[in-house]
Amino acid sequence: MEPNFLVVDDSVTMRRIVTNSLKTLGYNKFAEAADGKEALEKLNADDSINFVITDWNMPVMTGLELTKAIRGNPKTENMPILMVTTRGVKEDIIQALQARVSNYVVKPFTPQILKEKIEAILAST
Amino acid sequence: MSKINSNLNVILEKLGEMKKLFHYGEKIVPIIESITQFVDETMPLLDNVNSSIVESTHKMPQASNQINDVTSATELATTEILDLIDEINDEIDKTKNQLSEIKTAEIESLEILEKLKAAVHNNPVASKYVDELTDKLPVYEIVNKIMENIGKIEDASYKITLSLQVQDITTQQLAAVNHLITSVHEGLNNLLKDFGDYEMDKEQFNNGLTSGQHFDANAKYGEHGQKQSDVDQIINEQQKTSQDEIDKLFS
Repeated sequence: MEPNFLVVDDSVTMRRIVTNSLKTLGYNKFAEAADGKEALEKLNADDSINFVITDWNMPVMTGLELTKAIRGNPKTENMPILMVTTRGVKEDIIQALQARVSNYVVKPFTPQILKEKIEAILAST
Repeated sequence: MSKINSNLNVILEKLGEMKKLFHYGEKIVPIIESITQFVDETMPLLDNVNSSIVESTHKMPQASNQINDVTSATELATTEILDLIDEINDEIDKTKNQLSEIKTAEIESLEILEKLKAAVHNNPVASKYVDELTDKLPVYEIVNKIMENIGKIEDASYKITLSLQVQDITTQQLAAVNHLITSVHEGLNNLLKDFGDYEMDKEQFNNGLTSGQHFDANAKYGEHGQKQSDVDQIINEQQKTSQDEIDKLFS
């Protein structure tokens, strides 16, 4: 199934960089949200979204809270979630894994890393 | 009589104590005078410190707002750069399509020339002209070279796009500084409240007070992907630990 991404980041710049990267990697279906709350609204409204790429630090609802909310909903509990964040310390990574993110990318990322992580997640689902 | 003597003794004792007290007082008075003098001299200094703190506290929202202005300006500039990169990429796509059309047209032209050559093979002069014309159509290789150069421009523009991640990272660093300014401002405000001189006006901060959840104070811009191997190692360790725990349950 072709992935339909939801790119969640409060930075307009980062959303554009991630979506541009997705286009370069050959993926053409994506939506955007500026925070976790907006992301949940979009996930509720659009059943075709099947892959979430989210930042951690965001106003209103963080990426970690979003991950927990997605995992806590039977409808979306198995949704692939890729965390793309500046937070690179061990405690943060463990916290994200405990919240059951599918994988974790640290900014600044390379397209190769993004590609590898997306492909690894898609291969495991 | 003995009662009178006893009372006189008490009075004499008290007088003795008073004498000691006065004697002690004589010693302590200069110390008290020194303390008073010190306080008199220190008060203007404390007033100066107080007014400096008030002045600095007044300036903090301005500094915070200037940081926000920098963040907005860099975000605007980054958006403009991304718009321009999109325009460049659109033009590159158009140019690539046009070059593909040139290549297709050349292939078709060469096919026609082949047919023409076959048709005029009995005419040496015409055949010569066809050969000359065929030699004049080596654009295929040139087009390929141009395509290669365009590919390099595409790569460079994509690298510029990726480098703009710096905007998000510096924004988080500036947000952390802003948060620090706000915290210091609040602390000083509480201190100044005790002096009764100043009341913080939160409205002075243009975008309100930032929460620690909105930024990563440790955000750093380094070589792209540099930190990823460390992250992958931690993930692998954690996943291995989890798997080991699961394996133990089934053993």
